[in-house]
Amino acid sequence: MQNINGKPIISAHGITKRFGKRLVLDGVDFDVPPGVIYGISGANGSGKSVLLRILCGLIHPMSGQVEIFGQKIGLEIEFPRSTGILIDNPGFLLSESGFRNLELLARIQGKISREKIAEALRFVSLDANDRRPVNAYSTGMRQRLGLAQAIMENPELLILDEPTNGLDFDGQREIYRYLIELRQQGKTMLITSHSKDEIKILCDQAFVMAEGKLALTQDS
Amino acid sequence: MRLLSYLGIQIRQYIIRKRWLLPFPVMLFIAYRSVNAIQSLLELYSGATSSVLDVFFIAFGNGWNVVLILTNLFLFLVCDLLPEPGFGQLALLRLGSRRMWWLAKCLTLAMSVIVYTLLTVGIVVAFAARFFPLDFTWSSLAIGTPESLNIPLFTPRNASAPEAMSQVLLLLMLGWFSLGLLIMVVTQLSRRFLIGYLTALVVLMASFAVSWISNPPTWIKLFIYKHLMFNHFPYPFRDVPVSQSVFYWGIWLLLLSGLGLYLSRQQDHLASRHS
Repeated sequence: MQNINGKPIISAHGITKRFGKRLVLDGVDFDVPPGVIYGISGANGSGKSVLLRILCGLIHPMSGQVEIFGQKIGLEIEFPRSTGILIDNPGFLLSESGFRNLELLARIQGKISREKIAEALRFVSLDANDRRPVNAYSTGMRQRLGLAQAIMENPELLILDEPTNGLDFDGQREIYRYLIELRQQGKTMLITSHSKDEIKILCDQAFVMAEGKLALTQDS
Repeated sequence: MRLLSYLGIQIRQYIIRKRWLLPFPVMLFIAYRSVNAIQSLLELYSGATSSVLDVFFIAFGNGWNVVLILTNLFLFLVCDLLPEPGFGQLALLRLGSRRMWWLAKCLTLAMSVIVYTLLTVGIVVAFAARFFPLDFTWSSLAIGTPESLNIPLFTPRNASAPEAMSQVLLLLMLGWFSLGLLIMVVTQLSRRFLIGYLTALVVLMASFAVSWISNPPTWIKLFIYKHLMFNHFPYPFRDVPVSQSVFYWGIWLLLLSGLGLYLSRQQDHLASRHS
């Protein structure tokens, strides 16, 4: 385990979210210090993805406050800066190649060159010259493309929602390898998974989400 | 720069796609029927001449065509601009502003209106040009019997043919844009594009249905049909000045774009399986 200290990169306090009558998040609090991998496990529908979307600014909490890099999401800034995000179901443009998809996204901020995109693709073992449309990609390739999308702009923080979702054993191992390498590069990561074991293997600190509350797992 | 790049993605996602091929067969069918209608009129009024513009007025002035086919098809083409899918959400995160996001959505809709108008008019004009001359003055058929060509009575006396044509298109484009905005606003509220689409259809169909009331009450002017059409098919007169219709659409646009902007700031962008 890494030593967990320093000013938190993510600071979330009292996060509550309700959809209709269903309370999805019930006063969630946690801090993520720099340079560590934080993991949240929980059953499908436990609210992990909603929590991650709140951190990203895609969903507004009903109460509570998220700060990322010291900036209040939704108040001082709409979406977090220097954060690579892998949302579940990224849904790339199916008729375009993987490279083209990333190029279109990268062009919005215009911060990185084509070479950086190719580098991100190489990092996840995808061929930047592969002209096949995403339609022809396997689930594993799409998941790796999603990861490449998250890391291509070299963010300090990665928020990854179920990065191994739908992958077989080998595919999962491959993603683990990438994530460990990213941690060695000093990235801070927040990862969700429905598998407690996966979170235990990968993360410095593991939480479990149940009934809208976040709790530290006993053995972490 | 960010806005332009984001718009590029929107165009790829929503305009360059297979469903935009639908206007080709549909408009060819309308053009074919309209040409046949003109040919029948020419047989009836022997010695009269006609032009491509007459075909245009027949096609874009017929209430059945405009409501049931043209507007309906347009609404289908743009009905899923929202909610934002996964790729759009990744783009939104990079765009970094919900206000800019709403502006981009409105611009995408505006571009869809322009492309759709060019496409539909282009197909009708190109087809009609095989049968009639492309003449930008009123034909003798239009002057003699404007109501048969879905042109309001006296219009050939008061306006040039290109002026009338541009007014037809202006009203249609404003109406299509407003209905597209209505879909986006209702979709933001309901998180389901089908509800937005059906709402716009109900508004459109209801206004068309009430337009058939004989001796219509004044409040009927609040319905969109009176302002969508240049002529008031099936009646030969336009009882609302075009400027009032433009003002009417202006209010629609102001209200809907303002409401859409407000909602876009409150909007939760869920995963597709959540919504």
